[in-house]
Amino acid sequence: MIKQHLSEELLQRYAMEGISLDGADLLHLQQCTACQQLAETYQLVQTGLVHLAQPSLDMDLAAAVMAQLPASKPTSEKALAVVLVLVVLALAACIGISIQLDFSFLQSGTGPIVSGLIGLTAVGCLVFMLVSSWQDFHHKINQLNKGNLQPSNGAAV
Amino acid sequence: MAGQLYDSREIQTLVFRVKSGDQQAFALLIRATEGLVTQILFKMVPDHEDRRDLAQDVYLKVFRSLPGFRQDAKFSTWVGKIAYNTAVNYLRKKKLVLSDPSLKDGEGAATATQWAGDFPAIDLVLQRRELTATIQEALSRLAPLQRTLITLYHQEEQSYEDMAVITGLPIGTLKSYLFRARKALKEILINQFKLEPI
Repeated sequence: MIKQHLSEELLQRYAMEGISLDGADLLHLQQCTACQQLAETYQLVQTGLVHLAQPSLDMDLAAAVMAQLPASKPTSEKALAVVLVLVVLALAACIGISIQLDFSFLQSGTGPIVSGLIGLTAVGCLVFMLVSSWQDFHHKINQLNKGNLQPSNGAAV
Repeated sequence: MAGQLYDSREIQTLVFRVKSGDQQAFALLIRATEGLVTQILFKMVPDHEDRRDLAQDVYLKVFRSLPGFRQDAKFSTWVGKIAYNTAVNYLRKKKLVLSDPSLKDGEGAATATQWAGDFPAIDLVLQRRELTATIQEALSRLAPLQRTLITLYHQEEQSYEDMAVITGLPIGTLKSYLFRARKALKEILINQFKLEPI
């Protein structure tokens, strides 16, 4: 005769959270009608809960909120573009001064010209990398704006 | 699970865009999380019009607080916490009850020796629609906090850790409340179908 049943909390978690029972508890459950019935009732509650309909506010919440947001400030994209242009202009000015100095010292040898060319190439590479990163960033942002945010199962927001 | 799920990297990108001044990205963040917010408000706020107003308030608060949001936190949990706190403040203002006072901390699990005597046999051949309607009705009889906990766990599939963040309750208390709420649902279900004791 069964004297001690499983606790209601254990049966509830077994039925509604899917926890596993250890050997003795599982054996008890297999042999005890009362515990089986309680577990089945909780499984029924669980079934009812997962099939409840998702409630709706009957409104376009995003549109309603967006209409109330304060006017947007200039985006950092614009600010970044301004900074980028300023940096390029500053570099160009430095290179221009450097080349001018090189020409004034032409009589002293070709060393300064070669170093100027190396500097110019380095700046060119830097500008190319910046432009490339900028285009890549814009491509990704455009994809997001076109609604390419695909829901993905199991991923947490 | 209710609502759409988005890849966490996409959410991070959207948060970054909003923080950088791209307000349009905020609409996508709303759509990504409004399912959770709607569930919380439906379980805690009885009035339909108030729910609509509060839902907008929640997202305006989210927008204002976004600069302080840490990227290592889970965005949906953070939004859920704001929604929960907004609903709790609403209940306080309206002098409405948040939790069933009979659900005290530490009232742990009953053993089967306590329940075996009065536990009825249940006819498992219930139609799903009837069952769902009964559960919906039973859920509406619970206190707002218990309804919310049940919904967060069973419909929104939130972990205990995330539920603790959203509600600000310790995990032990939360488990105890959830146990009592499920038990109450079970008892309402049994009474509804007037089931015979064993």
